[in-house]
Amino acid sequence: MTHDIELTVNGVAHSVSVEPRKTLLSVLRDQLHMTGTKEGCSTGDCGACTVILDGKTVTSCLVLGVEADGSDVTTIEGIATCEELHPVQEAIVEKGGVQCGFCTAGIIVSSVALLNENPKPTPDQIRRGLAGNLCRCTGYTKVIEAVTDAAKKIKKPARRKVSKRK
Amino acid sequence: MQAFEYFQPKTVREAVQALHKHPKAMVLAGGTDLLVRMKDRVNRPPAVVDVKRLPRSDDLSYAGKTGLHIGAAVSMRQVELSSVAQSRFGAIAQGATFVGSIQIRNRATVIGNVCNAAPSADTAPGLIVHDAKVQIAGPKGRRTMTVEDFMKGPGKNDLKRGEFVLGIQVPAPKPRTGSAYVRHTPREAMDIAVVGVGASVTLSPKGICTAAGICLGAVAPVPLRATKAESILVGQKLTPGKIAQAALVASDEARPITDVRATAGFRREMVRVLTERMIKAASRAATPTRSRRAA
Repeated sequence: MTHDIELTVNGVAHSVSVEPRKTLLSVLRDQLHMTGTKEGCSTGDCGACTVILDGKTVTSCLVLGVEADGSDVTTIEGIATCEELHPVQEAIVEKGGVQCGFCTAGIIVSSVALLNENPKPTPDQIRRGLAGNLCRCTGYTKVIEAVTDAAKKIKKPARRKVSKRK
Repeated sequence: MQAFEYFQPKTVREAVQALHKHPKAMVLAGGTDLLVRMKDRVNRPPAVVDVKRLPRSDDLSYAGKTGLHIGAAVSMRQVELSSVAQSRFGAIAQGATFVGSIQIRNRATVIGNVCNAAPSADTAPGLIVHDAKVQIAGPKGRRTMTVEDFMKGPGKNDLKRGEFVLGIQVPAPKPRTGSAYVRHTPREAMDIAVVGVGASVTLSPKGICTAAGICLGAVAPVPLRATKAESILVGQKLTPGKIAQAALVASDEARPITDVRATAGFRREMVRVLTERMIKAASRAATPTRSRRAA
């Protein structure tokens, strides 16, 4: 039996009919044809399938599609705008933080989420923040340099004026 | 994964009914253990009952009278980042911090950690030294029992047919109580404890230990309370000598095995080292900051 679910992916609302046994990863790749999110280990160890689910990073291989009903999902496809790359992506390119590239989507999603939570992470906080993203080419050093660089590039968003109402 | 029916009950009653109707159903919380086992076909449940949308399931709250409530869907990450957990239930918050990666901790639940009953479960020693109780719902109504009694062996818990865990309640600690947890792993993250030790200490205003809890992870079929070591500390001033004596007794109480992660002998020695450190860390956390500065 399939379940009809609704989820927002990168700002676009989708209605999908899913089998309970299909993971969010499979829904994204096979049903919505967004193949930027990669399947690595499929056991939650490698982080290649990392997406942001309702503001929090998760390994989408360990989330059922049906569990994501009503959720807001950001995938690697939603990180850049049509015009420009995200500062994390720019920095990864500049620093050479990509080798074979299979882990890159997950690393970028985790890094973006990390910088959203902690705009000025120390190298140790970056390492811990990316502990769930494995790179089998072992290209970690350049990634950490790139995230450090990206943090410097991201300007603080202008503070919104809060209008006080009586 | 094999096909299964998926239920997402909105009330406890619906959950009880779903589990009654599908006796071989399995309960899904975070899914970070269950889905892996289903993919490996270690578990092939015909039905899965998701408890994440039950009322109060995502509730992590503290009240002076009742203590800390951890709902069935509360993630490791929520506990890790909770200021009340960090300040009053250090051993529990620190245990949650060690689990997996951020992605896993965003999904994995404290309740799942307890239900899966791994001897190495990182939140268990903290919960046990804080005398936490699981709240169980089932066809015969509700019951509670301590986390210590609930975890019965590797992968075994006390749930009877049709029962599931609604939440965990941790009593409010007495004044001047502190706790801490640490584990030993070869890697800093994404690893499983070779040995984990949680300790809690309550001090009198004059610095005498009035209550102590020591719980050892990954050195017995269940998280093991080192009761003899605890009794050495109670009624005493926690001098370095007393703490070392208790740590040695704790390493005697451990029942470790040799496996791929470590030898029994290494584990026993690590129990001594980590217990000593955790009693010290707990008593530091129990000491009010002002007198700590003066000391």
